[in-house]
Amino acid sequence: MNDNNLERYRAAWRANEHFGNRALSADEIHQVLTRESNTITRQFRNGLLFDMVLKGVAAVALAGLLFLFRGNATVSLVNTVVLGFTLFLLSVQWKTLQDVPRPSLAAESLRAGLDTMIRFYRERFLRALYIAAVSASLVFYVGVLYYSWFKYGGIRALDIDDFVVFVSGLLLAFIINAAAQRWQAAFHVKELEFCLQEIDAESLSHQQLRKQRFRRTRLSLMWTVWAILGALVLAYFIAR
Amino acid sequence: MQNRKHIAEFTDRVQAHQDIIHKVAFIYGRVPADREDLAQEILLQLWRSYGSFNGRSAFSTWMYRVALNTAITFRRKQRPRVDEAPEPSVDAIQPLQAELSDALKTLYRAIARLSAIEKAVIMQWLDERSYEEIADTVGISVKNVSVRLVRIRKRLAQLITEAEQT
Repeated sequence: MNDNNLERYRAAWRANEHFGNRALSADEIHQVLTRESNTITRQFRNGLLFDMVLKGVAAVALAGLLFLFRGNATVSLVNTVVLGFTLFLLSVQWKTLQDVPRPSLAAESLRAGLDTMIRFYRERFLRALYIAAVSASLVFYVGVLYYSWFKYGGIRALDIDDFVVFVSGLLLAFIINAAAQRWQAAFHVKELEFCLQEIDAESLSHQQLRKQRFRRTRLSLMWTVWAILGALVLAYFIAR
Repeated sequence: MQNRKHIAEFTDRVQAHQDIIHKVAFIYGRVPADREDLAQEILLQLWRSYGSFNGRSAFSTWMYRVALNTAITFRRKQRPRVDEAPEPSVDAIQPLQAELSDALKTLYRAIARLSAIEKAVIMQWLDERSYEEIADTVGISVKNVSVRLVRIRKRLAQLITEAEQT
């Protein structure tokens, strides 16, 4: 096909205004203006707020544990340290919330916009998700202590198996939560970086496209493996 | 009062160039729900960025820039997007059947297989925007636009031939 034939398609493109959509009325435009945005920074803010609430609930639950275990000096000491650590993480998250950037999508070219988004991911998002992942371990910790209180009226003597299961639970909760979010974010960053590289490169290499497809397949496989691992861990705890 | 005037001015301008929103959502959205979400997000981002429009470039150029930035950085639910897309699904094409010409449907299928940046460049070429405007929107040199367009047009022609044969 030559450019003359391409012109026929260009004419069809130019002739169509709404591409299967209805024309937007003034009322419809006004309605959309009051809605919430779904940009990544907005999702980040919402996720951060949700996690802060979760940590806040965990902090209150920890205060409850301090009261319940007031007779046990060791547990009280550990609970105090965990509560202090939780409050510290909350203060870091509060500071992050104040600093969430609002990348301008207007004043910049596609190249500059992508650069801003990638920097946001690298400097804020990835660091914040590790702090958020601690919540999973916190919930596990608080859950185990309340379970012990209501089941045994305190902490029963731990043998080595119990200790291994407890520490594994804490670590797994953190690792699974952090890794899942990390990979998901990394995938989005890679896609944005891929676009930026394409803008910078003189021509798009088909090898890069193959790499991108490979990354996507690998991500799907990782999700499947994590889902199976999660189900196995859950089954193990239920079976115990 | 001032705010109402501001909104009215924005609405008039957006309505006059709303084809840009429809085109970007049409090309970057994979299914109808995606297109609707994206169109709304673009509109919202246009409104939030409107204060920064200083009139140095044409309103339509500014609008293209915001729309493409939004489309490329927009993170959709559970759906990867910005690299080379596979052949669009039946779901994506079906709602278009009744309303669009055969030429446009073929063009859509061909463009869907381009990368996100290639889409941004070719869309503006289809809209007969100048090389300077395309360069300004994407953030590359005018010479680079010219080189890329030769390559992308060639690839698009090839993809259209393939789409016509299916």
